[in-house]
Amino acid sequence: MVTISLPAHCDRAAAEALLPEIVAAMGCGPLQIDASSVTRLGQAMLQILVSARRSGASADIVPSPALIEAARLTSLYHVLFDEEAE
Amino acid sequence: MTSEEIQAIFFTECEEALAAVESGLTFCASGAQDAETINGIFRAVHSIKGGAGAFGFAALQSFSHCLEALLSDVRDETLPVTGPLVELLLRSLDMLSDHIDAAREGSTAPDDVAMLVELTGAQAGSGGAEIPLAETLPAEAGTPPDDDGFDLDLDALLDDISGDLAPVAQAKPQGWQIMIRPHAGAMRNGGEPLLLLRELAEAGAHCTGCDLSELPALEALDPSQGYLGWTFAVPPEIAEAAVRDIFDFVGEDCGIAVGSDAVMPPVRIDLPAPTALPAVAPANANDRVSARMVDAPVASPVPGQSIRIELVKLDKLIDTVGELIIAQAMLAQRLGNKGIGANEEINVLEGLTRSIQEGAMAIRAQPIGAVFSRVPRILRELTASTGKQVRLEVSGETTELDKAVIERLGEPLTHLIRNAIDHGIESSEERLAAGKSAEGTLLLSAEQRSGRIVICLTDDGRGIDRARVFAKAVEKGLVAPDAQLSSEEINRLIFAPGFSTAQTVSNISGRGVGMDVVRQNVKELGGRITVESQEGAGTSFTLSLPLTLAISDGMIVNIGDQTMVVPLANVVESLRPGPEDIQSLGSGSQMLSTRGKFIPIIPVCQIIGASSCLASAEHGVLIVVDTEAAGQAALLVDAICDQRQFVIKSLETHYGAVEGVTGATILGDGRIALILDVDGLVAGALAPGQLEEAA
Repeated sequence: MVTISLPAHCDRAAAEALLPEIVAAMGCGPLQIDASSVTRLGQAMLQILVSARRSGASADIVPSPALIEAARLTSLYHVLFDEEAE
Repeated sequence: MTSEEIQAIFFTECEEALAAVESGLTFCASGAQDAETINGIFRAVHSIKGGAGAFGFAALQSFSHCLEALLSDVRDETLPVTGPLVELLLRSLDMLSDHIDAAREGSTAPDDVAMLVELTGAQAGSGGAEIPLAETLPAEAGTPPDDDGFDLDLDALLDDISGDLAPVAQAKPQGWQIMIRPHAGAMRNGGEPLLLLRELAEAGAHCTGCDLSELPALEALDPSQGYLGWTFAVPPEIAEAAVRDIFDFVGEDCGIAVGSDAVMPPVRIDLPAPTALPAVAPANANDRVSARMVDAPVASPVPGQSIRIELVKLDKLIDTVGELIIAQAMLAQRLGNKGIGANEEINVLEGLTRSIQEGAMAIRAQPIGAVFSRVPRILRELTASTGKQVRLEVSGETTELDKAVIERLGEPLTHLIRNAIDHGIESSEERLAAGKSAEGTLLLSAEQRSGRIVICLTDDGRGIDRARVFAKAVEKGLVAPDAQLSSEEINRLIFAPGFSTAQTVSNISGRGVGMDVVRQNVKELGGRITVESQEGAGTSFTLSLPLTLAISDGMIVNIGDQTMVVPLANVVESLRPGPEDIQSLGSGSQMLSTRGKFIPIIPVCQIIGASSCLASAEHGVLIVVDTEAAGQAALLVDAICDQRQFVIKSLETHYGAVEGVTGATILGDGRIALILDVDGLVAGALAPGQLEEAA
């Protein structure tokens, strides 16, 4: 399984930089997105994570407290983590 | 765009916001006020708070929030604008400025506990409803800001929303409902919609669902666009206006619908503005431009549209314009050599070159108000510590000059103001005893005068005590005890290194490093400082500065086998002396006798060590120059070739500092000419006491 690690600050620039990598990885099979070191997350990255979860291959996301907080805030907890966390 | 760059934009915007608050409050302090001014102040503080939250500056966010809460009551007219309130707001503005400085420098946030207590006290006295946002911050308002505040926020938030693990199922919408769809613009320039949602949640609302219907598949997704929409349930006690305030920060970049039957605003795909292209596709890291349309009513008090450009690019443009001026001069010279220099095309080219240069300079130009806006704060601090009453009058704050000059002007100006209040303006008792009003006046003005900026700082204080200055200068060994000095010369002594007449060293000025440093700073900017003073009536300092540091006007002169440039700023007149105008002194030096004055002649050729020097001053041309250190002097040169614009190239950067030379330029024929440092040259040639200007 391919793993892509997210940086601590997932702002729009990070999202733009990582999107092509995530798209390419999704095309090669199961993907794990390691978000365990994320301390700050923006809407741009959140959209990518949700879209990755909803795509055919469905990515697994390893969360951090900040990501869980953002997911709860935005009512996206179940979309992002329903298999692992609930 | 990196987060550092975005952060830099935030701090620039903070400066603009602080200036807006300052001018708004000053307007209120004058007794006049209107809703738009109060709104402007509120918006400025609100945008500082928004940015502070986005970057995790918890202390700044918490303080600006408290200030904003108070301003909200003022805006809603539940709190009347009174003198003490404006005074409190001005002091809290200073604290806000300190918070911003601390955030910028990464240093410890200032101790704002006492101020927060005052702010909340003033707000409590209003009797008006506190805005709901403030309800989330009572603990922060009463305790010192925690360095780890960002984490604290997260913890508090987690507690707040811990009951909402399955929001859709548990949500029992009460009160009212708001639907929010952030667009691309809300995510640009450091904006982050999630922070606004967080603020909404902190205010008491909770998210009941996220609309994913517009979210494309990963391959088709553009992360800079906003595809998600959220529905929040808001408790009935929270007013719609308070919630809309949260989203003021993003204006139309966020679709909002309110009401139980409202529909989610549609996705808006924003096409990037042409100038913003590199920001959207940051593949080419060396070629990033950030552009931003400034939305006049919401984002900035400055009307119209603006664009942010990296300074490096502007500097490059100015450099290129410099090269263009050189190339144009070369072309003109070559055509002139062929006898076809005076044609219409070359005149048109010259006109166009000059307008391109002026246009490029105008881009770098900024109103001097940026520096002047700091003055009221300095004044408040000084009047508080000295107990003196001083009224400030400012004029010409829209006068524009080069950004580089503006940036380096703050320090000397601050020192002059400190000096004026500490030494110049007397205490109220002294003033009343001298028949003056108890309140001193400080006039600060700026104007453009013949290609230069003239800044005047005038006080109506006690003036320079010349007898004391002279005695001090003698004591310090700066002048001989029997020296006969004119009033102007005694005034100039205050600029001498190490000179200070303060009886005791105060923490305001009088550290003995004052005025000579001011003069040095001004000189480094290519400017000059002069002082006029009338005992008992006041002192006036005049700073004459170039509009720009890059291009200047000068006389191209021949000196022996060298071609050099004399900056026009120093030149008083030029003349070809007759034998009767020259007086020889025993020491081999000569004086120019003109209009009843004797002016020392400086044989530049010998000083710079050029060969084929003129045998006598009668064979050359004398350029009378004004200097700060030594008054007037006459520079002896062989001939004046031309008077025109020249592009200043730094010698220090490319070679090293050379005494008597400020820089170099490239002439029309491709040769390099050195630019004379007239002040340094004259001061060096006239050792103290050797040649005094004689009346």
